[in-house]
Amino acid sequence: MTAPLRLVIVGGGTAGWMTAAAFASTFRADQMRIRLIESSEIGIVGVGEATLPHIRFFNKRIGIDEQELMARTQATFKLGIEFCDWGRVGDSYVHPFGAFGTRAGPVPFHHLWLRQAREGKAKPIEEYSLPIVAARQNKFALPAENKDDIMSTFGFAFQFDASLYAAYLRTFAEQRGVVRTDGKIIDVKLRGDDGRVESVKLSDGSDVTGDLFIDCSGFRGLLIEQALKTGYDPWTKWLPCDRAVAMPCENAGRLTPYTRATAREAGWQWRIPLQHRMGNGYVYGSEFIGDDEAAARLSSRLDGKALAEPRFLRFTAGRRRRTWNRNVVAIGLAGGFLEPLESTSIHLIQVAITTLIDYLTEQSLADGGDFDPRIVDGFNRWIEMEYDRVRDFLILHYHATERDDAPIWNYCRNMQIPDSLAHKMELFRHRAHVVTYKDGLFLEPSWLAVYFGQRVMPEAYDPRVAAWSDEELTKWLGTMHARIAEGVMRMPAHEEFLAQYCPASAMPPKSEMPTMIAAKRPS
Amino acid sequence: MNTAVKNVVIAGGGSIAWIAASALRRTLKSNGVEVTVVDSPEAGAPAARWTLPSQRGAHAQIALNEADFMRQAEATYRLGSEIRAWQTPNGGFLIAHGDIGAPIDVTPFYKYLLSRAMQGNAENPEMYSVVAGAARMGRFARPMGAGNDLSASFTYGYHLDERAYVMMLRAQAEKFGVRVVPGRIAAVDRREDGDIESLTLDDGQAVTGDLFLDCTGATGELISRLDDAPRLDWAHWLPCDRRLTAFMPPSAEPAALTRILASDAGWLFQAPLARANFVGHVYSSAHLTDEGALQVLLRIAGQLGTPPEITRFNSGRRAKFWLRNCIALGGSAVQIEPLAGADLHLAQLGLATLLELYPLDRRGGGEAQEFNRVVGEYADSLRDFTVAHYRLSKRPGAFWDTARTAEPPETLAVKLDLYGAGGRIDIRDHEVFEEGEWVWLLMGSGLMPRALEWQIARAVSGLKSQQASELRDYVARLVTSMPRHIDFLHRVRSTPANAPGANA
Amino acid sequence: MNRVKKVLIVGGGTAGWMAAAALGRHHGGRLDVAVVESEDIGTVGVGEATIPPIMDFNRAMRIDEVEFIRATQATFKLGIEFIDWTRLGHSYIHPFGKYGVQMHGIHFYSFLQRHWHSGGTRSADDFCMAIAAARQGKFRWPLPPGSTPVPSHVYAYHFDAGLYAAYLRKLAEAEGVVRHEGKIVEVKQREPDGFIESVKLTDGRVLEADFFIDCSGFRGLLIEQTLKAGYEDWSEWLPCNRAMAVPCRRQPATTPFTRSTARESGWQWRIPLQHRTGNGYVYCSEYLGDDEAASLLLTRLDGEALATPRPLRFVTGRRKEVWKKNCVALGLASGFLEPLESTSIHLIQTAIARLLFLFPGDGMDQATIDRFNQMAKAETEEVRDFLVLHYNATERDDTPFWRYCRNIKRPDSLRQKWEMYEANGSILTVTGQDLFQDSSWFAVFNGQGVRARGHHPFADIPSDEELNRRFDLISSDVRKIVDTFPSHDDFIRANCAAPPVDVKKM
Repeated sequence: MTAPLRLVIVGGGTAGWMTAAAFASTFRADQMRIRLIESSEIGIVGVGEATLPHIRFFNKRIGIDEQELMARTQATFKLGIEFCDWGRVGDSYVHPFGAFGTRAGPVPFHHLWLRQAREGKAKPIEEYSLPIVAARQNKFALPAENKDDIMSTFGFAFQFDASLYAAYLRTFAEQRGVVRTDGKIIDVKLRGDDGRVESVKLSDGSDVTGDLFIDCSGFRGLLIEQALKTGYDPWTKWLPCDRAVAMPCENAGRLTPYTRATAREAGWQWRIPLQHRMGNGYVYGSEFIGDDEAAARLSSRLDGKALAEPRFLRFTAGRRRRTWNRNVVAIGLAGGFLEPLESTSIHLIQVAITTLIDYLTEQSLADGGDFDPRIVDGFNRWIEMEYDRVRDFLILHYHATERDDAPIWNYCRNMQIPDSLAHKMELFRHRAHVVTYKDGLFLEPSWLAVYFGQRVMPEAYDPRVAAWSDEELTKWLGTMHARIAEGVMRMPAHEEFLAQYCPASAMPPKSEMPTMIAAKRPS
Repeated sequence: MNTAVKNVVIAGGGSIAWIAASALRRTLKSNGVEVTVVDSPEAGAPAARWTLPSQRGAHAQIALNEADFMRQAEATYRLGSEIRAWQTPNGGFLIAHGDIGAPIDVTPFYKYLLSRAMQGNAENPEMYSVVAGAARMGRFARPMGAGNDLSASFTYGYHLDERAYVMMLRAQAEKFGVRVVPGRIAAVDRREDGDIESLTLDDGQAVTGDLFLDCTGATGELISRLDDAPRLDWAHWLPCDRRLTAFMPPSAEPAALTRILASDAGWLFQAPLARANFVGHVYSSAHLTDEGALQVLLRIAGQLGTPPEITRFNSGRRAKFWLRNCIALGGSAVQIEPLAGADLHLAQLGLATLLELYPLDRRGGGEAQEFNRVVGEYADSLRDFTVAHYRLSKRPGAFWDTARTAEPPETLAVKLDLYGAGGRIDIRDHEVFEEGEWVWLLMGSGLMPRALEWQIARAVSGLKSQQASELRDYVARLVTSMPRHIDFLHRVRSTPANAPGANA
Repeated sequence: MNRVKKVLIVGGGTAGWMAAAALGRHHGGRLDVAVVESEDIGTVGVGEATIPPIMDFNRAMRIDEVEFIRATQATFKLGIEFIDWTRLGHSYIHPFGKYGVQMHGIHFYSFLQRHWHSGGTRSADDFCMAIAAARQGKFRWPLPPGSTPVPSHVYAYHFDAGLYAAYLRKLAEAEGVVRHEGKIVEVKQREPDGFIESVKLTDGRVLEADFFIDCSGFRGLLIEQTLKAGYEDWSEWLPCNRAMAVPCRRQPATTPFTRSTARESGWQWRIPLQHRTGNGYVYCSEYLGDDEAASLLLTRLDGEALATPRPLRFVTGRRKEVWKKNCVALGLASGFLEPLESTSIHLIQTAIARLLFLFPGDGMDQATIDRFNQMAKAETEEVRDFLVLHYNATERDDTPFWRYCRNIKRPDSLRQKWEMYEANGSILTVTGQDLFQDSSWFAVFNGQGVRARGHHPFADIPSDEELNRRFDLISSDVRKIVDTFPSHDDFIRANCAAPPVDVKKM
């Protein structure tokens, strides 16, 4: 029996504790010793309180009870994201977790809709999406299993308090043998022969050695960048926002089963309803607005009373050149940063963790971390693809706008976008064709929501729609519309559903916990 | 100028041309799309062929009934290929259209066999595969049952007689209202903007159109006049450039299997048809003369039933298949040795992509670029799959050394690396083969991963050898319960025309 | 009423999918056919035995026989063995196929009757190929007409009803029939004529149609619960009203026949399939409790039980109007007759055939509907009479149940047939109209111990010697031919073995 692999996770927070929980639930103690180093002096960056439906696979994989998770993290349900003022001021659309209509034959639904819409016979496309209709009415129920049932045509995710999430995962991980060390890392020791990280030195003078290090130290990348100088590819020319300010407030009004992202004069504002409060933040470009002004704007645009001072965050959109370098894997902000416009932060963490676990071989565990370079390359290629595909999708939001009321929008509207995205947009504009791919995030409905929502209107649709008679089409769409309306009618209100499914009321109030907050305000 | 694309002219009279004609006409009839086929020979078309299971989907698309097809195209069923003597002189393996074992929870069963093999207990995956057992024992049935039932764990393609098949496809196309103009193409007439305006035939007749499909085969009579970009040449990976073929009398009891046997300068094949055997030799002219190739075939086959035909080809593809208002499908787009039997499959993927992107007007808006990207990826994946056979061969000799030692394409290298390191097979967006076919090839070739992914190793370690042997027994019983291929053929050939369920 | 374009079949199961497959096969693109069924509602039927006319249905559907047998785990059926019906210890077979050969233009059994009247002791079984093969556990496909001196046997199948429905579903879906998953919560009728307009599912979907086929089973969701077609109760003649069904592990050797064994308060079926054996106890709740029936059944299986017994309740009888307004009932929704003579699937099939002949075009025509209902009535009554015969013609008086059955008042139609047979040994059925032909009636009359007093005068034509010579010839032909048959299991193994049932999923 060989010695267990020593896994050292540097940094707590969402990424660190998700990693710890996943590894601890996957590997036995005789295979892997897991230690997580975090400093209670360093605040964590709760990188996102809103998630995507994929998180449910993660929960299932590592054995998390979702009902309990929700109750303990003040969570609410999420059916999608509402985007306000993106295409034009006054616009609103929802990016739903579910399809638009159902496909009939080889042609996707939106082509049928387009033909009817042209002739003025169709309702707005969002009325053919059950999750959007439900979101607009603040309703929620769990999806049905019967695939014929209209109630099966959506997925859901959670909106939760990231700090409570980290705390929940910490308990989960510690119960499964993860050792937490409170300490600040003051030095990183590399091995002479191959430059691998051998150990990290803590401020109390102790050394922590390891075979595999997971860098969850946040944006600065303590190991991946500061020690290994891996390099970073900035995407600022396409994603110009580089700051965020966050400020929770009291809930007011309905508890929406969706996140809201409102385009602003120098970026956008998020609004994430939790059971106990509302998370808010303003993501902006420092070139376009000052920190104080951003904070002031944010605090003037809250639903309820502010619950904390503004907290600031700096970042550069982009990706680490290699997220796995030697024996260090960067997960979370250390691996790359993409603003949480589409709630992808936790998702990208999840992808990195599960991909890493999937790629690890018996041999690499047995030999104390002799990682086959072919596997490392494979992992990096995969993560690169995931990031790049999310990137294109985010750029679309900035670029597809008619807004000309602020410099940031003028810039984005006119910027040169990546060829891969330009090609996708051209095909959609020309004939409503959505370029799809097998792996990676964001399927056809996501692209459709943003295209239609941001006024990328196609000039034509799939010619195969001509095979339908007007009567057939009218009926097909009409039936779909009625079924959705009726399905939603029977759903309970989001609050009602929450109250019986996962009330957090029994939990101690933790509203003082920071949310999307990290460093002190930049001086 | 911007006009609707109503008139499609398809140049070429081979199977791809007719399938494309029927599918376009059937799908776009309501749009007033008219299809004309200029019925001219397809250069380099084989006299018979073996196909992948996707042919069944193609037949459904053009409403071709299976029983009718089997009878008229002299077809037999195909459960896979046997690849012999590529590693050791007497060794061989199958690449079959079906699963090995049944998944262990969600882990594919072959991972268990890999883990056993890595511990020195190698077993033949065929013992755990219904499709392999049936192919080896000359059995055949259509898949039945549902979900994870082993009796539903496979699918099938065909062996067919090309001439008979083309006749049948032509009749079907005419049923759909496709116009047929016989004649050879004498000239391709261009408009001012460079697009093709019409084809002038040898009798002087001009056939005008808005969109032209080049299904003329290897010569690419249309596309080659528009394209001066260099071809992407694959010869350094795939040195074979000749195909020598003939027919022989049928076997008494043919298995539903294509047999591929390595020779010193290429490979020989035998594909069973209902009333003949299609045999041949695919080889490299740099390593073997035509006469030598014939002698090798005769040594194996004995006497041939028809005079041998020799076809030349150059492995490679066009950089762009869709240029201006011309789209190349089939041999005009990609030429590759028929080892994987995927040429019709690839052409059909092109056709499906075209149906998704049928041009709305002559101006276009990114369709050609998307088509070339998607179909290009498909073509490259077929190249990779074919190249992998050679890359993983162990046969000695000058020809084999040349083929084996060529630095593989990047995408293939990545695939072999990942498998070699962790037993992992990643399939990208547009590939012609799935994990299943790659497993047969990689395991069959004897490439052994250095390790298994840890999660996978854990999943398969729970499987007891007792369970595995029960599975093996069950597979054997299941195979024995299947009818003989020859009996199945007799029954299906005597099914009355237009039987329902024949395509089920 | 507009032209019938949309047909909705309510309920999957055997009836639903047979109808769907048949309509799908024949409508030639003129109809939209859909089936709505719910996975939550189980289908009845643990193993189904059929009678030879099933061949006609399969042929019409152009079903590949071998593929069909393999897909449904089917075995062959040459008839039904009735044990302990006449008296305890007695057994006879109702065969598929004829006895002997016709002579002088009359049935062979008339000559047997003459033989018995003159003190002869030959058994009718010796002259029937189906019985001879069944008794020896042998089978082969029938010999072509004219190739044998005596007519060859005919056959039917035993198959797994669930797999049969799945097989038909595949056929139907290949023909464009659409399947909706869901449970019906509401049926909507239109004003003022009460025609059914649509059904509504639990999830709110509304399925409209012009014509409905109710295959919802015994409860008759449309035909009864909605349209109140009425039910004629036949319990006075056929008192059984419960069944308990359970599959068991198969025996190494499978019989090419169904077995029906009379029990203390009803009878037990045994249907051998390739992968298991279906069993059930049909009984009358007045004479036997459910628990007792279940435990008696479990002690009388010939293999290990593979499930717990499943109870079924029914009232024998028929729907008064099986076609009412724009709805036709098929299967159990149209009536219930116990499966003693394996008629369930057959009655579905004939109803489908009738429906195809009389399929409505522009609206519903009452004369057509009346004709349909008349024919359905005649057919079910004939089956009823045939079933009553089994119960009524018995010597058994060992239990209250049988004492009751002995004294059942025969329906008039049966009484007439019975009296005629007793008087001169004649039966007159009409080919193509009566389901059970003369040889079937003869088999059961004779098997159940009903004796004819006289026989046909032409039967006296041959001399005793001549008749004996012919009897010898025919019986030895039957013996010799059947000797060449392989065993039922060998035949299946060689020709149409079904996939063995999957090992436990890993």
